[in-house]
Amino acid sequence: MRALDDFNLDVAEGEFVCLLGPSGCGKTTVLRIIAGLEIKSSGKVIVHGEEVGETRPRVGMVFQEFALFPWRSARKNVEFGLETKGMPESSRAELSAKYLELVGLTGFADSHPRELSGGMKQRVAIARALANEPDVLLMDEPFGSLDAQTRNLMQKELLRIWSATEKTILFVTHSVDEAVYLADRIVVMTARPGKVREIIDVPLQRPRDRTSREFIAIRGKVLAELDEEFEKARAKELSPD
Amino acid sequence: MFHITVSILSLVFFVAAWWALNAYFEDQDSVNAEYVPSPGSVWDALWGLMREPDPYVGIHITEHMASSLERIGIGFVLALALAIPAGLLMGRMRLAHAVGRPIVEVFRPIPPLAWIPIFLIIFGIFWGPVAIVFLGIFFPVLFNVMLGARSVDPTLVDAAKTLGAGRFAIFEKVIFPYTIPYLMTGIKVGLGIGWMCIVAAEMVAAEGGGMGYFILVMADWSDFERMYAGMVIIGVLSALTTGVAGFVESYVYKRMGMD
Repeated sequence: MRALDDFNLDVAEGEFVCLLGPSGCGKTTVLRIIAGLEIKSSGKVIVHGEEVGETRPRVGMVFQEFALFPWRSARKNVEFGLETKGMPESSRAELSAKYLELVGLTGFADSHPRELSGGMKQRVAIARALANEPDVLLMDEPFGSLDAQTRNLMQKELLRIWSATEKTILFVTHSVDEAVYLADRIVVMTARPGKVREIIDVPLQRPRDRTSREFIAIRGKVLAELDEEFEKARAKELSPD
Repeated sequence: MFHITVSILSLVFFVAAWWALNAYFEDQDSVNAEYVPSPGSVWDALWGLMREPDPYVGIHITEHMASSLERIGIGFVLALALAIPAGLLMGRMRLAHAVGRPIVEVFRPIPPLAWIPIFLIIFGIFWGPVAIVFLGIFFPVLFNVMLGARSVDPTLVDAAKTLGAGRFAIFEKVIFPYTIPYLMTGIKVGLGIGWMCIVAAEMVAAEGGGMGYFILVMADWSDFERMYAGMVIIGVLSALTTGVAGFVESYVYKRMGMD
């Protein structure tokens, strides 16, 4: 089964790109291939001029399920990648403190994941990915399991963190609203096998106003594109092939 | 408070029933009175054993205890040293699983006690019982660790990979910590089986001391008071080792932030 087909995308340094598409279209697969977690059958992934393959690219990934190590405190979670690099303890402590502060969790450094709320867990996961100082931050529906309030807050926080670190972010989401709120560009994918259907620019100043006319216009455009793909995906599901 | 009171009453009732049964047999002049000695006489025998060795074997009870504990301890450590790496490998590597599983499945259904005769011949009266204990603890630990290693959340492994962890680091920092609760379950089950194994093995290898040997000799001499006292000691030792395991478990969970 082909998950992706003829998927081409160039992302500029420091850009915030959202991937949007019907479920099962391969959005997550794109991220997993870039992260080196999945092997592609053909094609190339180039990060900072280096092809992903034998050498693991310098990317960080944030998962919907947080994927925190439950037996490690927030600080120890953030230091995980630094430990595997063999960084001495004092430098690790310095970096983890820096990134926990960036995500606003300084007071919770010694808390374990089960003591943290969903939003706080995802902050730890973001700090953990950033502490490794990756070139690209991959985010796989990171706010998908949060309640609406927390989700909105985390979107604002992510934009703050993004502008502070100037990282390139590739962000997979189901939510059109989230994509329009966050992204420089939105990549709408086709139903499986996933291709790039349309790339929509979002030339709005941040912070964005969800109720502004421009915001609503872009959201309408993205929704229209996506609706067609949803219909196609449904038609495919109903007809056996 | 209510339930504690009920528990104490339950225990009191049990001792009273035991005492009444003995009194009944005494009253009937039945030989059963010998098989069911009174709680008081077992208690006296227990204290007597602490003061001086029994008249038949002549080894102090603490030496019997030490010899059983030593054999369990050695068997336990050896079993853990082999079962943990084997369980991790079999849980995480298809090849190791394909190699190990059939062999494990051949040996697992054979009760460890079935090995007593041959192990005593091969390994002698000290290492023979150790080997039986080893087998009794090895399998529950192996199976629990394997189960734990198989059920590791794949997202945690993915996260570790994206953070730069290689194969060994993933084993050390993700798979192993994840399996610790499973390991603890295996250890607690294994210790119970270990005591069963050691008592049985020492009964067969009727030399060299040990609690199993002790109660067998006491029964041979129809000294049922001392025999029951020996059984009480086995029960207490077994509960103590399980208690220590439970204590270690809660300490580890606390350290891991999982209590």
